[in-house]
Amino acid sequence: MSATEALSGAPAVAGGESPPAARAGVWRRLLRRRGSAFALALLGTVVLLALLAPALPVPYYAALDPARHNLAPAVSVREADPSALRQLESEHPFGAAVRELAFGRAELSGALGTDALGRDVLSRLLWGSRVSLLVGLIASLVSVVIGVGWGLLAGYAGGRLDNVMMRIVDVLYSVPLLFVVILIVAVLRDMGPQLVRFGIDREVILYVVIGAISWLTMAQIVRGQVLSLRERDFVAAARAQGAGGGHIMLRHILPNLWGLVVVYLTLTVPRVILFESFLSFLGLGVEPPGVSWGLLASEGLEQLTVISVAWWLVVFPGLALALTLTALNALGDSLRDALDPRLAA
Amino acid sequence: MRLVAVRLLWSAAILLLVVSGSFFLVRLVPGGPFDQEKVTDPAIKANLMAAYDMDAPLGTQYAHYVRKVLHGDFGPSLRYRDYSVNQILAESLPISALLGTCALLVALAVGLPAGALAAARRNSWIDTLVMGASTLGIALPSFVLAGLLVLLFAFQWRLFPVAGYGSPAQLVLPAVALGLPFAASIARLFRAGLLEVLGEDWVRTARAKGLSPRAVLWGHAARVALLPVVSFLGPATAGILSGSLVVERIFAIAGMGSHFVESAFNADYNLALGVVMVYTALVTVLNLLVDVAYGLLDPRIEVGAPA
Repeated sequence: MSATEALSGAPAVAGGESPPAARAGVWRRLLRRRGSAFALALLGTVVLLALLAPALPVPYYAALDPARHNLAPAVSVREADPSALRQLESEHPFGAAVRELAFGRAELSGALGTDALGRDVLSRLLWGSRVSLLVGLIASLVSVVIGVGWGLLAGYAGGRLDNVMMRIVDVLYSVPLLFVVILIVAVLRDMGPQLVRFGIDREVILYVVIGAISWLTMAQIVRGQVLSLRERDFVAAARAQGAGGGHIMLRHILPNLWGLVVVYLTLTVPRVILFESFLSFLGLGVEPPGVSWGLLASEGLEQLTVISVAWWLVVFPGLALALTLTALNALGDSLRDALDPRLAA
Repeated sequence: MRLVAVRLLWSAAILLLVVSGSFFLVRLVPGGPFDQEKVTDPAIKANLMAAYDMDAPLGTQYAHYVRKVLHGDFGPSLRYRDYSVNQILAESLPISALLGTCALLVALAVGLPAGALAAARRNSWIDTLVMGASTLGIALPSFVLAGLLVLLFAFQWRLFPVAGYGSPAQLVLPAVALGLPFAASIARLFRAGLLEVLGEDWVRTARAKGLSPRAVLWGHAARVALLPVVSFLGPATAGILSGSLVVERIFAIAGMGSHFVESAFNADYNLALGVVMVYTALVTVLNLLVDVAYGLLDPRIEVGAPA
């Protein structure tokens, strides 16, 4: 499951064209834009690196290295810590095997500097990208499920139900959700021990809570689209054949929404990643020893003192976040233009 | 006017909704804010609970709380034992308000000229530069920006103090960190608005009657092109308020944002509820103001007409 995989399956249904032709057209239009090909390549690299993290020759932390305390970037290749490799093997057997095959016992250390505890920043960034991207993807999917469901139901039902449902969306828009979320996360943290028994931990809470507040735009856009789709002939035809409301919504209208959904999914992912990093930054998201980009940036900022300006602890996590988010935004925008030129701003 | 009244009523309803939701949410927590590692004497604990009105049934507590809030009393802080929430808010609200206003000014002062420049020199390298910077600016989290600013302007060149609050110089970095991402959006919106407007007939008329390009741009086109920017000010204000959560923490500013984060951490629920309420009220009132301003600016929209 990756952002690129989600994209590749997506443009199959675009407007009324036949799927293969539409797909080719979308890809061509997408790749022709100067920025989007670059953005796609960048995202592909980030996702690939995240997936490959266990197989890459960077330090894995079984023990900390007090000798390498807060060192500035300087590449050194050295022998990997055997106990760390054993730990990696037990936690990620496949990745460890690939690593052993490709790189043996050598490991790259300190390429992007080390933090105050002697941990390699590059390694932390790679492992952190897994968490950041995963939260981004899962929370976005949660928001898609809620948003599409809500918009589909409101748009198809119409009338009073539509009115009430969209009014609820309006009200939620004017609630400062960030504050409510911080309260929720803080409260759930206090309830933590009880929730863990039900298999709900911090990360699951993050996915659900972030997803649960990011669906508003999606619901509005889906509803607008459904309003026009339900007047189309193929819906009338299905109804004439005696199809029920649920069947029409799921089998006839939903497939026509995918293009739109993918565009807004792409635009939701960066917002969600930003949100996660925001919460982690405040200490309400991912908890150490877990690591995400937001947490890394936060730790880096705490390390900034007049005595030692460890700039690499701030710059590299920030750069990773900024590049990924910019690429996702750019991709979402050009995907929107490619799928439907009329939507272009 | 009628619209304003209706909107105010809506705002009140939203406020009540937020308060009630948050109230019951924080009361869900097992134990209470007075649970400590050390076991508290049951008698002392009972007295504490009574003093903070937490021994009554939930419904009664809620009724008491809402009644007090309606009288403008947010209750005592559970953490800072000698302070009431009102006192803390009275101290921190002006700080946050000043910071937020400065950030908004930065956003406008950078965003509008940048957008106008990009539109006037369309498709030139200036346009590309401004749009590229704004793409990056929109995606850049405020804490990353704050970190970079501190690195460059506080540590590298020592132009501004690293943190703190009190002098105007200490306000520069936080205001810029908070305002720049919104400057990026404003530049984008203003450019798009100007480009759309500059193609209209009445702009051509203005140009045809001999007005200078500058007069056409700022006197005629800008007024209409500002509309999307004005409607963005609502979300921008809300965004600046939430951005102040991290920025205030980074720069060690004792505004509402840092109080809120701390209160959430410390289970100081009276304070947290108070801050949430103030923020909600601020956002809804500002949104209302933006809508009114929108009507005043655009002659085609009549304020008070049924929406």
